[in-house]
Amino acid sequence: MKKIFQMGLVALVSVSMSETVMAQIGAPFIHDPATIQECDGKYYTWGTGGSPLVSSDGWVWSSEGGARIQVGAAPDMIKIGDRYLCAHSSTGGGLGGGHAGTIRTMWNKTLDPQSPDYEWTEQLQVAESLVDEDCDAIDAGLLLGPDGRLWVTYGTYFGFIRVVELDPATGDRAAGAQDVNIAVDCEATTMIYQDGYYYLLGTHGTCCDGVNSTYNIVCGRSKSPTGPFIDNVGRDMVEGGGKMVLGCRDGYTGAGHFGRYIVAPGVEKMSFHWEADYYQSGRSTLAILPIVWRNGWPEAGYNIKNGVYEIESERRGYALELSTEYVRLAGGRGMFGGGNNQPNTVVAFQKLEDVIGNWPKGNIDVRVCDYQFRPNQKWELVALEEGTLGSPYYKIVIAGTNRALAATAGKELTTVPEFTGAPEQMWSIDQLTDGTYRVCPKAVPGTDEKVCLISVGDSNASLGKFDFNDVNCKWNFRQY
Amino acid sequence: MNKNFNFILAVGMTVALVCCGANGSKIDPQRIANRNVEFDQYFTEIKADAAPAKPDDKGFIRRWTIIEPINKPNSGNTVFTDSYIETELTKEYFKGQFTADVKALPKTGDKVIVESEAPRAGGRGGFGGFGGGAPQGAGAPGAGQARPQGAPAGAPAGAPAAGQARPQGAPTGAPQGGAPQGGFGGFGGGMMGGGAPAAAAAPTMVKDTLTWHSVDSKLFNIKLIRFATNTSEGKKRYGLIFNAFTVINCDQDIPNVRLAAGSNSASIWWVNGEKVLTLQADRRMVADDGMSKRITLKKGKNIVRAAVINGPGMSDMCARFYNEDGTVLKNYTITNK
Repeated sequence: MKKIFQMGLVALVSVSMSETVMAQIGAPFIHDPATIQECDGKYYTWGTGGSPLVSSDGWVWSSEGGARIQVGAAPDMIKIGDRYLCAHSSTGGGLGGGHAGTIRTMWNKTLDPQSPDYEWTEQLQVAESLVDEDCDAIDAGLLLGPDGRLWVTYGTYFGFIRVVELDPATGDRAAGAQDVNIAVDCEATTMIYQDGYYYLLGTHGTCCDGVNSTYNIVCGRSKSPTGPFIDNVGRDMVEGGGKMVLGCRDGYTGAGHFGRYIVAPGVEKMSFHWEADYYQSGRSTLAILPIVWRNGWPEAGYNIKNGVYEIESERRGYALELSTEYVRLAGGRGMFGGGNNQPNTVVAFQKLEDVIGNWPKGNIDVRVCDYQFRPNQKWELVALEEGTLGSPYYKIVIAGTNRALAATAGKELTTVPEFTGAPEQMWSIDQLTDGTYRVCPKAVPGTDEKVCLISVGDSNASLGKFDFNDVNCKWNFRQY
Repeated sequence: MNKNFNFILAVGMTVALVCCGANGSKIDPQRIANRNVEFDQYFTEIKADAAPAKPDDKGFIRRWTIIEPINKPNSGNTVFTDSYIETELTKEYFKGQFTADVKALPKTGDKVIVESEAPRAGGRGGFGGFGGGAPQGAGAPGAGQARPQGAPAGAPAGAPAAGQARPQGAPTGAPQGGAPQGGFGGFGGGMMGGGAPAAAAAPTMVKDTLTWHSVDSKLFNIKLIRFATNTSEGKKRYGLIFNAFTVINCDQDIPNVRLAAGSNSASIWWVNGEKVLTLQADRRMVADDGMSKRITLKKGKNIVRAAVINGPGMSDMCARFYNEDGTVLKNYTITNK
């Protein structure tokens, strides 16, 4: 009985740990999060009504340390120079009421409410809608384009989404700016720029219906910030078009209110909210996932779930493994042709217990080699309760053991017999914009240098500076 | 049509907005010019003997004959399940509503008397808006303070709300027919609201005299909400069922075509009396959102019929035909008889 209880407990914890990699932890409750901003080592966002969320690592979030800001619906935030510009809105009634919305902007030098510089400037009204017209001026989204021009998109399900240019120096409307209709019946729009295209992201589907919400993020793209924004089937977003970026994933429904955060070249995150997180009472929660660019279109990537993986180099396709004695398997055909009349049998896989007795007891180096699903090539990843922006740290151990991958002084690699939680044994794993992954130790003994797991040659691994354009810095996590 | 109503509304809001800059500054009236929502911004009303029209460059059908909308008050759109749509959009409110006989089609100006549910008291009240903390100038629309979502809405539709913060689009009450399980997850810490089933009460019924209007849309889509507001002096806006038909004239049989349609919100589409497409659930209008199975447009006249239902929010629809090879069908004419 006790054993059954323990097994159940283990299973429960396992499920819980597994699911945490899909949403932020702590108390990440929010709706309509603004694009995440970093200020003095902390991450900030605000939701409708100005409720704040703050995180010191980008993974564990709570309202502590933040200050409610006096905004209405769905603020957005952008850093321009050394100041933060907030755009937010009020509406005269929402979906079924009047539609006299307003878009306002205001500045602050800091997002830290404890700073003596924390003070929002006077608000400027930059756009508006009438009580009754085919637009409801709410849900502002800001983009500073590659040419230094600032744009705000706004609107909701009641008619058109519009864009208008702002003055990046003042946050007010640019002189002579005209509002342009660029989409219809979206919520939470914003633009991003990538490789010569402006992408308009908006949210379709049913908002605010808890576990039955169908909120989903779609996009179209244009060479101009004023459109037309065309989706992947050639449909204008003014005709309702939009290619899916993210809708629902098991246990999480209703993705909405996209914001982009570029961590480094090739490392991008999208912030949004889930309308309902099944693992947190169906509440609306902040979520952050990688952005993957596939065939010129952004889509939500994946954080690695707890599980057993091959860690495969993008360089050669070889697998990270313990440097242990290769143990040949007995049996198998090993021959071509002949003997086809014999019945097939299953060849026994090599098991951990078949080989672990011969492994050294202390630290064991790692190398990269042909994958043969051998025990020294199977790594179990377990999410930890600390992280970086949008993803947890992981312990990476040989499956069935507690032998953990670790960084060493001198920026090399080893495995230690027991995972202790030391920072050199904690690994961030970020999906890159091309779908591969970057793997970085939280710390390297003796240096503050930020490094990642790299291939050196086809058959060895080390730690080195991350470069998105260097195939040696990229890895894949495979399950079969 | 109904120009006075919209003119007064637009002027009133223009005056309000000129005064409502958050920093107290005046707003250039040019910013909000040409935003009126009068009938002729969207439609040209045509006569019964109007010359045949063609589909537009993208194949969208812009000529429709639409009857003034039937009341069907719903406080949210999440009730539009398959069975609800089937029940409500195939309900016969008047004789000949679904006729597949071209000779029996109504003409623009024809009237029918329809009994339907009375709009709810207070209409589809405004949500009260967000707007917390914005500097409140005289007449500032939507300036207000935060309130928990799900709180009852109260302001009359169209009223500039001195309201309170609430996530947009949130249902303001229980949908009819029982709320889905789960309901609101709540935003922020511990807030809950909405989702509770409404007490079942027999609706009050009213009789309406409704008129058919043949129109050419000036847009690729048919802005049903503007048809409603402009044919009712603003009295009908949300919680409505729209019925429309058009006649497709073909020189020969055209086999293996598909009707492609989008609607806000749910809809059912028929061709020559056969139901060919249902767009269930709370949805926004998307061109080519749904497509029928392959059908044959017969030589001569074909009746395409649409019924669209919406609770609060925008309502519109669009439709076109596609050939088997994925190209848009254009070799036909469109009439209202």
